[in-house]
Amino acid sequence: MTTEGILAVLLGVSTASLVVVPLLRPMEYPLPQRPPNVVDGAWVEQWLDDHFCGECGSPRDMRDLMCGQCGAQLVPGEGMS
Amino acid sequence: MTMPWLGRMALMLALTLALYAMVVGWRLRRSEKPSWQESIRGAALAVALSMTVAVLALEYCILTGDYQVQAVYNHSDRALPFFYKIGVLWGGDSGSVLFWGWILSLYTAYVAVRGWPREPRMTPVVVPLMMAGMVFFSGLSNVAVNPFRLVAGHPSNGVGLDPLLENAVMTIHPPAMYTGLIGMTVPAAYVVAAVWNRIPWREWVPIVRRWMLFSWMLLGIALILGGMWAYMELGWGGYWEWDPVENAALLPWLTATAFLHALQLEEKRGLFRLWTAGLGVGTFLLTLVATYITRSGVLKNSVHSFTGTGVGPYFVVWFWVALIFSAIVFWTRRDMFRDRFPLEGTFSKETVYLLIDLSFSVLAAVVVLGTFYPVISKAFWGQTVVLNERFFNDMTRPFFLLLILLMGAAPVMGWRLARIGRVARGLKWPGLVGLATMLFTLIHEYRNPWAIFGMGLAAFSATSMLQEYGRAAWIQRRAHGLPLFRALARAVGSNRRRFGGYLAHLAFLLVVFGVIGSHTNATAVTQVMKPGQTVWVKGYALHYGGFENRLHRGYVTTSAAFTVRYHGKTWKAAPGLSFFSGSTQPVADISIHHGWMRDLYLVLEGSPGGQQALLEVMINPMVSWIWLGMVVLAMGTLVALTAPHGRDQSWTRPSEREGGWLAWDGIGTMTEGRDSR
Repeated sequence: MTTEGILAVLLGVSTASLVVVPLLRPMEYPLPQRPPNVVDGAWVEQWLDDHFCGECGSPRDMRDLMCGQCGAQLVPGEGMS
Repeated sequence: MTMPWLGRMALMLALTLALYAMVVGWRLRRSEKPSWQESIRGAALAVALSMTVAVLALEYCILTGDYQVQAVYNHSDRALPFFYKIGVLWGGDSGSVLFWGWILSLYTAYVAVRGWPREPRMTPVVVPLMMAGMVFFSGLSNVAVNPFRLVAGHPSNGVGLDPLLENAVMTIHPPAMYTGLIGMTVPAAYVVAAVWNRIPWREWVPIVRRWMLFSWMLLGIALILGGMWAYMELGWGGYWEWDPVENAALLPWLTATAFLHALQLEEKRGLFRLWTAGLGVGTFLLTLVATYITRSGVLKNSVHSFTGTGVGPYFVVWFWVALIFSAIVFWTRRDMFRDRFPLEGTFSKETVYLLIDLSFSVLAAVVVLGTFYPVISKAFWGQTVVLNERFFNDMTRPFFLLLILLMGAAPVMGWRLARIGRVARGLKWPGLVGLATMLFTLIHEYRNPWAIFGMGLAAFSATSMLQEYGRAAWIQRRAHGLPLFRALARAVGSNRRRFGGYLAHLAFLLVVFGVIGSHTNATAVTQVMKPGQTVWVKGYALHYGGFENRLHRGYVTTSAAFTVRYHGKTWKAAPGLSFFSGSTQPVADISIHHGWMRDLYLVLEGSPGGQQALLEVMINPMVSWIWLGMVVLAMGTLVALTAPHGRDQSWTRPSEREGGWLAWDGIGTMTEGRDSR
């Protein structure tokens, strides 16, 4: 068999394993799904406010009262108040 | 079984799999069955694999000199160096279409493998949409422009590559251009998928922005590389001449720039949503227009040699299919385009962004009109009228100047309602530097008012950007007591998206400086020189020593030997002419001595007889600034792209909610309200 023939067989086998085999193999688990809109949860917002400046988005310390990046006023983090 | 046979088989397999993934993927886009989802993802991977095999098969034929394959016969020969042989793949029409399809297949496979688990609501629609593109390109390769078509007989050598393309830049420029143009398919597919599935804007805008930013960067680099090639190879001392093919590549870059700014507006205020989505899809459609202009030969006034090869009508059909489909999706989901907030103050960042978007859109419209004017004039008045460089320069100049002004103003403007006093204070130093630059240019022999004004505006905007870096570094230094450089690094590192963006803007301004500088004070002198003669041009002393001939593999070069002296430095220069076998026209070997403030550009035009040389001497100021701009553009975009996911993706700043501009010196208050849309 020539090199071209071997390559053609390899291509065919790879294609079959990628496209056909998943259809023959029963899969019970779904693909990973993103949880519904966790970003909208209030606790996430609070966590983000505690760790990032609300104005420019740069990381902050919970004790900071002024952003080190843009100088915006910050509310002390939940852990401090 | 031969390599061309393997390539043909791989192409047929790619088309079959792309059809399967498009049709079945679209029908089962809402299916929860993981086995089908896995099969579609597998098909996307298998298409990429098949296209890779086809590309490697053609590359093998090129490198081993299989001249029976037409794509190899037409664009390669035995004398061609190995490095340039790699580029033969995209040197012709059939190879280009194959290369285009291959890159698209890689993008699609990446989206299917990485995007599907991350975005399970959009990607099942995105993959079939991109597969429609794959059907088009692999279909073209199978039917219209088969790269594995054989020529009659068994030729032992090929026609060869156009000598002008034997340049290292030209080996990098097309892949960068293709990767950029094709990459714009991904954000467009995400926009249509998101609108189709009514996905909230804040979820998909960050994804689309990253994809567009990446493609925009590559296209920007490719545009500048194209200019670099023209400057190094064509011998007229320029880098851009509003040629239809150049314009074709510029068009999607203009709308992509508008789109990136419109996304910013969407992210912060949720405004002009139909326009934003339209720009995303429009940019993709313009990549098809660009390919049509380049490949169809519809515009005969191009210096580019690869036009008129018969694939144009297919691109027209594909363009209309994509346009009509997108229009139907947008119309049926028009409720998606309601603005989140109303436009309130006229003196605000929103207005600046709106004007930026408008300017880029108008620029794109002017370039479309100017480029297609020969076709329009022929259709309406029966006469082909070609618009020259002057039309484009006169029409685009005011908009570019407006953009530079807005670029400088935007960093200090606040959302909703900017305070005039604060903006004026923020622009004090940029304004002063701008005025000083105008004065400086006036002293340095600039007489064109547009150039003086443009230089001043560019300096104004650059200072405004640099001021932002300085301000952030100063705050970091004050807050943490860091040395200046570390404070700057910390400031940039903590908000890479913002400062990467400023760096990309500075890159644009470097290009502006370079363009104005090189267009304003350039010098060109044509001189007949005898051996032993010396001429002086703007302080450069050029001493001519006579002709030298050199034999290369496949061509002969005759060069004129010069010794150049300038400001106490001496170097050799050898502009020449290369004569290729099978070509009647010699190719100029240009000698360029690059400098930050000026280039010495020597072109050997010919010889009036004997050892006499007809020489063109050009002094081109500030051209290197354009090439530096390309490097800075890449750096800035990469910095912005490495910004971590997190807060900067989708949050609404307090000042966007309550309208005040919270300044760096701590003025303003926080409010309670949260916006989760």
